[in-house]
Amino acid sequence: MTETANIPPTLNEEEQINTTYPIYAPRPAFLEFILTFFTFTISTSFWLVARVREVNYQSKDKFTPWLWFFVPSFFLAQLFAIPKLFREMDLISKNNNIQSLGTWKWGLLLLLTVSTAYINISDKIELPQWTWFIALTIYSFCIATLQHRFNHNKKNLESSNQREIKYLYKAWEWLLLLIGIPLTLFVFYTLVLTPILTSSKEILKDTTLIYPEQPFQFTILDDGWSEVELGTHSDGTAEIELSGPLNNMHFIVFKHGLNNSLNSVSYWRQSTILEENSTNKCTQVREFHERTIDVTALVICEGKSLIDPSLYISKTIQTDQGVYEIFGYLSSTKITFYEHKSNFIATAKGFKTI
Amino acid sequence: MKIIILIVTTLSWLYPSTVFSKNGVPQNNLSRIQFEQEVNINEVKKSAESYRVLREVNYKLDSRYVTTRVKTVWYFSNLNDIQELGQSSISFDKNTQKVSLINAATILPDGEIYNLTFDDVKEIDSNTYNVFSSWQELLINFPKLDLGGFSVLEYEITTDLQKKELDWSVSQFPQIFYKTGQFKLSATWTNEFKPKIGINSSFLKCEDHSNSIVCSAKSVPAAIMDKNIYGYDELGHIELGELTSWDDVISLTMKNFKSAYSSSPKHLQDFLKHELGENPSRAKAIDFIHQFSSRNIRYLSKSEHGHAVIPHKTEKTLDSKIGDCKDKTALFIDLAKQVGIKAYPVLVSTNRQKITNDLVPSLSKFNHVIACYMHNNKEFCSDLTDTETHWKNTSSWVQNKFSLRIIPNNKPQLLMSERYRWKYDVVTNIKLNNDGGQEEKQTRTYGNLYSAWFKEQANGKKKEELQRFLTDSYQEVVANQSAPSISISGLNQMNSNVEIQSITSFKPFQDTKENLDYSEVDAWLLNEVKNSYPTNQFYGEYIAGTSVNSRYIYDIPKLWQITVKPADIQLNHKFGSLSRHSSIDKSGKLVIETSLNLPSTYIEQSDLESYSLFLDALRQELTMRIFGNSTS
Repeated sequence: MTETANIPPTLNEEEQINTTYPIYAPRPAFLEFILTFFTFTISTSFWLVARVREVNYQSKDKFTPWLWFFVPSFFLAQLFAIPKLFREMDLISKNNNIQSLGTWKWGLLLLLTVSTAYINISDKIELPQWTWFIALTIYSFCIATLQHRFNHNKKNLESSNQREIKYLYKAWEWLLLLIGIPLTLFVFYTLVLTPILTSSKEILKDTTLIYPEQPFQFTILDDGWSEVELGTHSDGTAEIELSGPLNNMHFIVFKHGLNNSLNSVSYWRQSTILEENSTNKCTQVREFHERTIDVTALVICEGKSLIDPSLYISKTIQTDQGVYEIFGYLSSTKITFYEHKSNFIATAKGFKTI
Repeated sequence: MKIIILIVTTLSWLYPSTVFSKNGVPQNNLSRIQFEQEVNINEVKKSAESYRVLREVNYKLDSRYVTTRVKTVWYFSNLNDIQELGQSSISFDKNTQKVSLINAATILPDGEIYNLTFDDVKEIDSNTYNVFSSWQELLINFPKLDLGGFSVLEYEITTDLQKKELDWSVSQFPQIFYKTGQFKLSATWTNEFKPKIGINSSFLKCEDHSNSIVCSAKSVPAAIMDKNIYGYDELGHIELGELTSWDDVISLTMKNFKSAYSSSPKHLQDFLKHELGENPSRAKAIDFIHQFSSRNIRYLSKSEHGHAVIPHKTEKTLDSKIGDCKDKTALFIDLAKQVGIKAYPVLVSTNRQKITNDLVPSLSKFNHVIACYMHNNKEFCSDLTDTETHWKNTSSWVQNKFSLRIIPNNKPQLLMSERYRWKYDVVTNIKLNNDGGQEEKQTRTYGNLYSAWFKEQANGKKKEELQRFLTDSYQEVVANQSAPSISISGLNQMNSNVEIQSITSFKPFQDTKENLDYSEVDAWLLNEVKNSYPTNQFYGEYIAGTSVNSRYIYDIPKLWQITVKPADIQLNHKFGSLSRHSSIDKSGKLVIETSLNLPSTYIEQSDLESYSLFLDALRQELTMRIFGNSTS
């Protein structure tokens, strides 16, 4: 049984009064919370279409349900649509002698739009991962609250034919949850817990990193960098590993030793980047470091990681102890990427011998 | 009375003949006692190295004669030095100077003295190809020299100043490339001839008096030798001369050249009219006069007495078609004057590259003369002894040399030096074949001084010899296993570029079924970088500028898809630059353009190592690597 299967034919008012509606029986709000949270809000669009359709039964088809599919995803749409829904719900409440929505509804709207806006912005600007989970929690809470209100209305409707629900979720919802729960936990672990659990040493902006017995130095030009355990970003063969303020932003320093040359390392690096993704556009340049006669090899490859822009950078220098390379990777949402790109490149370019 | 006049006249004529009598054997026999009084033999013999034990120079100057007495004692502790210094040479002008040997002896290791005889001394004409002069050389061989032995030479030169064409000036070096035990210099003069004296040796201690100077130095260490230095430029010394300013040198040279210019220039004018017609353009006139003076006047120096520094009359040079640098320069200036170009001589010392170590003005500082003039607000200088360099360029061997423009109020300068003396372009078309081999077609285009150098190399070579020369240089630089087909063009005209074309095929060396991993060294650029290394270690060095543009065009078959092009290069430094950029052109060919620019510069000693490291860095980047995926 689906809520869209038995849309009643258009009836005149008299007929309608005597008709019962095939609406869903109330589902506990916490189940809606779980569904919303673990499906990364995807289920909400379907949920709202169904709820609006139910409202339509009472409101003489005031709304076009499929249009509401997009409302959960865009905070601007919510600002216009949700108050209309509230008004209609209040009207239905009044018609059915149910207590109307209190002023708390505006608070709920605020929470919903803010959390939606936050999730919207996170497509463009990379924000701390844990805040994204907070926003998701608030958003799910808002949906659960709305569900609670819908439940309340349904229970008190004077004329409805509520079918008893025999299951917690429908089949497709179970499927989404089956995929969503482990995925959400995994993402939560890697993006939120791992950075917290991994031992790291914070590096302040403009700090010049010099290590005992290492022949190189470089200056970190951004906030939010930290030195992390070897193996975090490499296979463990690196000398130094740094994590940036963004999730996909790191530097790794490799020692290539005395048996390699700048040329062999930089050509190899460019080849391996292209092997990984042949659509990357690479430039390879030899320059003197500042006014010295120390030749440096710089490889920059730009491309895309899924839909986000990405950048690989490799600067190789010759030292008394052989060839050293700083290898960096940056990928993020478009605005954040360009916000960090220049300092990221400048940090790598500043890699030099002591 | 007449008899008295005759006697006086005869005596005054005879006096020089007594002064300039035949140079003979040493007048004195050196005795062991005499030698031991001057040299502490046991003390000297403690030295492990050969050295100049004593150098004593005494000048007596008066208004007519300068008498120079020189005494030199050498100690020898190794055979190489005996080979090198076992003979001495005294140069003198037979018309103005007389040499007298006072003492010439070899001291054997056991202290026995061997006084040189007539057989040990030879007087010869100064032997320079195509030069006739009044200069003689007295060669003194010291027989029986052995380890632990000494050579002693003492002589006197008397110079008649009235007969001398050049001004009188001398330089003495307390420090040379061997250790010096004792250095003494004294000079006395009359009130009529007070010399100008310049000293810049830190070892020398001098006492000035009103009519004399006495200088000495003891235990002067050997100056450090280097591969590309000229002692005059580097070593502290003392100079004495009769001229007081550079304007004196300029006036003297002007006078010498004026005496050579045609007094009635109709002959020159007719000649130019015949060759150039009426009202030739300025550039055409320069081109003709330059080419005529350098190519049509055969080099032959007739610099006997009277023409050591004074050019022959220009009409005579024009008629005889024979001349040396000063004759050619005078002819050029005189001919240029007829078409309204005001050229002037510029004296050049072809050995000296510094003006900082010069102390006293003198014409004798120079050994060459060229002509310069203004054209289109730029100074052009032509060495008319150079038959290959176009008038728009200055011969490479006079660039950056110690020079003096014969224009009032000038001072010595280093002659202009082109920023890039050696310039050329290379275009290399390489077609990779389907069998993994390649065909290469290369064109090198040499302009300016480099083309002149090639023309000079080709001069006098038969066709086969020239072919061999070109093949050898190609194989040496590009590929020694190749058998190129080479042609050269543009050798005959002074103003033409020289173009060398080579076509070479290489047998298969790429596996066409594998991914492409190709590397090629930009060979001509590498060759220029290799040739630009300074040779000195202890002294600064002048490096003549080089600029090469190289363009490789690769036609790569569809067997491979290029994935990685050669790295771009932007190596910019105060010493020069190397830049490279590669791109795919419209026809799908890979084009790699590389520019090497090493401007002319003087590298200070403190920068020599950095300069070499800079060149090392450039060398490492001259290999072009291309990667491609196999499409099969």
